Amino acid sequence: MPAMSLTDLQRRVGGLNQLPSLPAILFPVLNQLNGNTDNIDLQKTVQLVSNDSALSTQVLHMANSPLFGLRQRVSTLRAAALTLGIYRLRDIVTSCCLMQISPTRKGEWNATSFWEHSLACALISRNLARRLNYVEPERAYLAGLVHDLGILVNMLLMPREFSQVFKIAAESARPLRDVELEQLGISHEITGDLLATQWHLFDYLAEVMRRHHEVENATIEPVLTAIVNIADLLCRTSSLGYGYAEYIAVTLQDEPAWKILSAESPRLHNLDMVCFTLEIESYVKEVRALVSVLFRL
Amino acid sequence: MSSNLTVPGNVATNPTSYQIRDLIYTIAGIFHTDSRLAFLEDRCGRRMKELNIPSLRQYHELLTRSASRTTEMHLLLNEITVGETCFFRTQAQLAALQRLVLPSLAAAKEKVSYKHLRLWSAGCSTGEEPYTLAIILMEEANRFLRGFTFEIIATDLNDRSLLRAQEGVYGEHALRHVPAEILRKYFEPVPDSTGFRVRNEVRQNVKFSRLNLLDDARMVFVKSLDVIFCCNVLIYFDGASKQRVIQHFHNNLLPNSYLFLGHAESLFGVHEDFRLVHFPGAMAYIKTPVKR
Repeated sequence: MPAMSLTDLQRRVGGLNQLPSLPAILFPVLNQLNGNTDNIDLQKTVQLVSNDSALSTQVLHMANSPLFGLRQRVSTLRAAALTLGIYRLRDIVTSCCLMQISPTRKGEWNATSFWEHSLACALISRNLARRLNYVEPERAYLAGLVHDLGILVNMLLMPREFSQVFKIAAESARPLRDVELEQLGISHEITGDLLATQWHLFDYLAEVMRRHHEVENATIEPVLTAIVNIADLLCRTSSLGYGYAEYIAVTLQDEPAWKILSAESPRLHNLDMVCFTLEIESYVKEVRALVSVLFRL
Repeated sequence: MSSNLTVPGNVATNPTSYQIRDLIYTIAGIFHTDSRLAFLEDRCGRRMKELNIPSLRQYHELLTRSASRTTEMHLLLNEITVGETCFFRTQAQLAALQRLVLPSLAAAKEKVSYKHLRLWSAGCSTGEEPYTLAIILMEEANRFLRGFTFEIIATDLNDRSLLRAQEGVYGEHALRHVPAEILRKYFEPVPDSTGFRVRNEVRQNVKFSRLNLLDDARMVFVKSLDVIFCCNVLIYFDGASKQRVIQHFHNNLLPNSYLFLGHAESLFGVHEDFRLVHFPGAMAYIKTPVKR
């Protein structure tokens, strides 16, 4: 496969028109929920989501998942919003909306594993951000959720080439990014960045999408990018990777992301990473069950 | 050390249980929490029945004052340290060893004239783990371990388990994860039984011996190791004993060599000169050379 330059890629996507569009409902919802928390009209948000019955069902199902920690089941969107709070509701609505963008083409790559990885990465990023006392913990879930959207773009824009990349990576148990660079000359961070521009995503999300494998080059939110990098590595060694077992050995302490977090948060040294990893393993079953149900709804 | 181990306010069914618990801790580093005291009393009961000793107090005297106290402590330790295990038990850990650790160790030794690998199964129980390690190394002998020699050191505190390990005969349950091809290649059926014996080619690579991990004098002799497996053994040790054993492991490993512990075992707060490494579905520790 010939290597592809960014110009080739831009030409191929026809001036970016072929990139997936941001699900229509997400824009007003994010606008609603990203404002000053004092001014948020929860009722208006609930109304917006209620207009889409499929989305409402998914949001309710996700809200009741043990992964989101509700003590008792909720049966209405309003109850979910009141019990979960603004940020959790935003996280859930965003997750459900984004999951609707999944290539239908059958191939080596499958959307289920992709969303399992993204959802797990979101949950772990949120968990790690809290443990490290990161100043904007509510950003971590969204950052983890969107970090790999470039993979989805690759699958939508060049399904044949990307399926081949995925096949090679899975058969050789190598990291997907290495094979992307080797076979395509570009990797999913580049296409993720194109998508972030197209969608006018917040700078910090665009940076995570662009730099989550090169955290040392992050300048806007290096700590957030480092959190997502560590969460991504933990997912990929805890059977929540891209749908195949990568044969990688990861010494977190040697990772640039670890060094960033270590300098920023003394709490990192109080974290027993064996316990934290076992906690992640406990997500596996729930994440798989949730994604499987959401795809059926 | 012994008296302060008893938690004030907790009354055992028999106060002598605490004394035996503390004695075992002092000798072998194995600490029975209050919730495990009933188990300890049960195992003492087995020995008392065998010896026809009517009371726990008299049994404690046998363990502390009689001429046969060392032998009797061995026999009691045999009763309390029986581990349930099987071949190819922790598959993610073994896959990490075979696909990532061994190739990396082999590559690092490629330029060394004496190509030798030394692995230690510490707490080998009835031998399933060290034989599994030997089989994995033999499987790679014609690939990346071509030209290498190797040895597996297998130690346990329980000499009854070691006898069974040396005998090398196993039933269906212990062999349940062994692939058919491996079974055919490295095991032979035992006539007139359903069991299988580990073939001599495998057995000759494994050296069994009895070792108390807290025996400082003997621990210093297990040297120059590339990999240590010590799974679900340290869970019976308290913090101080665990630190002592891990320090020995650190001393005995070569730089950048690997320590595999049980699935949920952590060195957090125990030892700082190891780095945690994540493999697919498994974790291990790499020895960090001590900074001077």
